[in-house]
Amino acid sequence: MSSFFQEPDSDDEIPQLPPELPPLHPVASSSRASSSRPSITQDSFLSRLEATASPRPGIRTDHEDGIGEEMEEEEEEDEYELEEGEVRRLGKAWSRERGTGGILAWEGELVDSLMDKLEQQQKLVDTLKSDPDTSEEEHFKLVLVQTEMERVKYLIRSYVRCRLHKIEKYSYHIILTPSLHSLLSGAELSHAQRYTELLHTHYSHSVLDSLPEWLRKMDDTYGDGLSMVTKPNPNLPVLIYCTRDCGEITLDSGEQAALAKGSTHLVKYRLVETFVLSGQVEVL
Amino acid sequence: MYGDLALQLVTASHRSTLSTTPQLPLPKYALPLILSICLETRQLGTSITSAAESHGQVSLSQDHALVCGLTVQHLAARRNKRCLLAYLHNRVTGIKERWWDAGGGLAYLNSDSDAPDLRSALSPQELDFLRGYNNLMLDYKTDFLDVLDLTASIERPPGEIMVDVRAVRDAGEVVLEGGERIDFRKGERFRLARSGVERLIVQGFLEEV
Repeated sequence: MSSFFQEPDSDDEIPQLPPELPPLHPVASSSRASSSRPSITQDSFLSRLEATASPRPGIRTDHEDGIGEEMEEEEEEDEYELEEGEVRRLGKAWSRERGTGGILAWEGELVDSLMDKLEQQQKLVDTLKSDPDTSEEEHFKLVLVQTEMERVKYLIRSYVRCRLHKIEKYSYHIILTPSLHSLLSGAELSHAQRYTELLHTHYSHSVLDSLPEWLRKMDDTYGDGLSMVTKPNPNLPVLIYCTRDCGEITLDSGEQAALAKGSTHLVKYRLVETFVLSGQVEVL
Repeated sequence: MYGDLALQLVTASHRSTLSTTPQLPLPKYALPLILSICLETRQLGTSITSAAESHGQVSLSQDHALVCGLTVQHLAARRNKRCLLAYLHNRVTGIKERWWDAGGGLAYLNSDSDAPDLRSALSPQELDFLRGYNNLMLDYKTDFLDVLDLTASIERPPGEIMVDVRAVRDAGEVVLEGGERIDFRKGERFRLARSGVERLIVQGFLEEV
């Protein structure tokens, strides 16, 4: 566990409250304690957030999912086999997407629900910000909440763009392989189609139209077996972390390698694809 | 030799990192070279067809010299096609990268204000592609636009929500998210929410202090 979080790459990018914030917090509250207002605890702040913005009943849970849970998670980091927050799940999906070369399933529900929550959160924050009763301390906490929101937005943006990049790279392959269609969202699939058309039109207008007719195809295979359709390379290495024991895999050389719980490996994606898809291993 | 021109095209494009480094200007579209490669390929094509027509099916399998010649011509033609497409593909990648770097601002990319004058380096077909790509991405990102702007920078995760900026050049009056109006004049400094002015930073109107 600890080795996973000390990976230089993932440490900064996993979206939790920025590490420097917790120590700041007590300092800030003690400096504000001298002001006329009594210092306000976390709970009363949450309930104020709720009170200010809720004729709507669902708001409390939504809020907790978005930010409250984040704070709890910070404390419970050591036992992270516990129930996972949505942000954490998206973080994993994001690093999986970035770590592998292939096309993975679109986490539509997760993204949609996070987007909804972001929107509601933004409304809450706006209401509280313009409310004259909001104390200085609460303003400070609002800044924390907003920072967290920006970080979640960053995560979604990066996730979506990483997928777009792959989809554009393999667009023709995706179009030609119907089994991949279910992995994409509707918007992504139509993007792949239109992008392929756009690209092929561009190629045709630029050069292909002035070549002899038998050279104008876009899906030829060359004599050496190289196809014009770019496919994901399943032999690219991935860096994985095993969250549980995955048995043994057979390497190309014929050797056996054990994927023990808590260990980190650099292996060809092809060998561990099933584990990655089932979530038994995480991609770093 | 067949294929020399194509080789020249790809090696030049491969050696120069210009087309994929967004900070540097994109090299000019190598139109004359491409036209002569197309011409060469067409000539190869005609010569293959006429050779195949003038000799019947029978002699093809017996006349080794002819078969050998045809094979070479055939391979050269295919190779030419592959080189041309590799060149185009490389440029398409560079064009897309520049589009993303400019925060998806097509107007900004096309304006002559900046040193890398993209417009004049592109072929008409590439300009069409860029426009088409821009429309495609606009369609895609509207789904997300209520909450977030897909084309904002993803270079590093945000640490603060406010940012100190200095106006590098006049941007005129800009309406920000909360409805504030700010007149950015060269040299002035502001402290603003990052998400609101991200695009202006990306496009080089503002500079982080």
